[in-house]
Amino acid sequence: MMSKQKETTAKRVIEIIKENVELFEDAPELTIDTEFASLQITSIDFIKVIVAVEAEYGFEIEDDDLSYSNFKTVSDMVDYIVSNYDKAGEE
Amino acid sequence: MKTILEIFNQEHTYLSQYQTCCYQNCLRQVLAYYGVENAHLCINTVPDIYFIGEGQNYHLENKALPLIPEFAGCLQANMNMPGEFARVWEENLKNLEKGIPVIVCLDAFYLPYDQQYEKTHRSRWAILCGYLHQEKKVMLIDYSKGSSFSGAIPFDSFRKARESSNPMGESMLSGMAIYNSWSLIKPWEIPKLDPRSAVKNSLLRSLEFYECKEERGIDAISRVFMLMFRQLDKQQDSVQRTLIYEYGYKMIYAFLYSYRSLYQLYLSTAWEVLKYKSIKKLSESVLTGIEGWEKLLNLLFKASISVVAVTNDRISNQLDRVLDHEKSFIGNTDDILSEL
Repeated sequence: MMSKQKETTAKRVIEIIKENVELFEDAPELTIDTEFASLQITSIDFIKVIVAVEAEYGFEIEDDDLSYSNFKTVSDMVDYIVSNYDKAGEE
Repeated sequence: MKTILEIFNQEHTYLSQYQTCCYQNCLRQVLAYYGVENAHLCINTVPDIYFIGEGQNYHLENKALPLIPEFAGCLQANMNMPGEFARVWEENLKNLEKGIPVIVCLDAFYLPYDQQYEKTHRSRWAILCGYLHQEKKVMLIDYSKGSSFSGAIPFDSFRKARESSNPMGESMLSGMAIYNSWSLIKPWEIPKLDPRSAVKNSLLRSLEFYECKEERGIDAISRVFMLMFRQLDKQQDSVQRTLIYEYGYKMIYAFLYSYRSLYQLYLSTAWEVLKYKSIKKLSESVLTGIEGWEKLLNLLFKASISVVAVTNDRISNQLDRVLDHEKSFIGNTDDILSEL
């Protein structure tokens, strides 16, 4: 079962994607299991999402992770955020 | 009366490596239509980059021809003819009547089937392959990721898309006038493709990229970035800084990322035809290099839109990494040349 934190983060990340990416008319419904590749988003769109995520959660994503090949699904991004948000909180 | 060429009914392929090289993609499709096997091997996938300018006014220019030199003679390119739509259209119709498809430049802003219809100006190339005289409709094949199209559009939309000045806007492909530009492949002048010789010559040209001639190839790229960083060090205005980063992004995207993607496809096609393991090895190495260029692009784009500073050191380090990786292609290329 998904933790409350992950559920809340997922909801917000989906909003962030919708705010930053102009999705194709026939794009699949955006859920936590959606694969970024299926949305046919460009790397520019992806970086827009990353920058918005960084602003929202107050940490910077590693340079080497700045590619959607590192985040297969929305869930992967949510896990990354939750894990780094926790780390930031511990520091 | 109808004029529809057979190319319209053929199966067409979209390859993601041609994402921003739609002109070359049209050339490939037309060459295949004329029966050239492995037509991708006729595309010139080796950039020939020069540094142009002085002071704060500088840019990179790619002087590479779209087709390999052996095929240059079969390409007729007619660029930038403002106010000449009627004359050009008449000439294009004559070509269609002779059975010759015409490669036309269009502004996506006026194309009803395009995602950016009436939103963003952006140039793209498509194949004009027919005209429905009674309906006044133009038959096009337009390959694009997510919005490939083959069908008819109203003549009036076509005319607007052809005459456009393509004003500068958000798109990287805006700002360069369309003005009725067109090309065709002269079928009677297509030479026979010798894959071995085409690959060998392309590899020899690729080595020129690394020759340490000032203002050309790898040195031109290093020089542009040095000047960009110098400008950024002095520039405090965030709007101006954004423009500098965007400029760097556009240059790397157009001349390195796009061309390396085409080159990797070239090598994988060459591997399929010639079966040399050394070609496969270089193809894999170029693929890794593309990931490096993508990381650099991501950093540049992030720097252009982020309020959190992406330091120039991080961009510079990534540039050094990817250029060092590029230099490793020299040994791989020499290996292939010794086998060919």
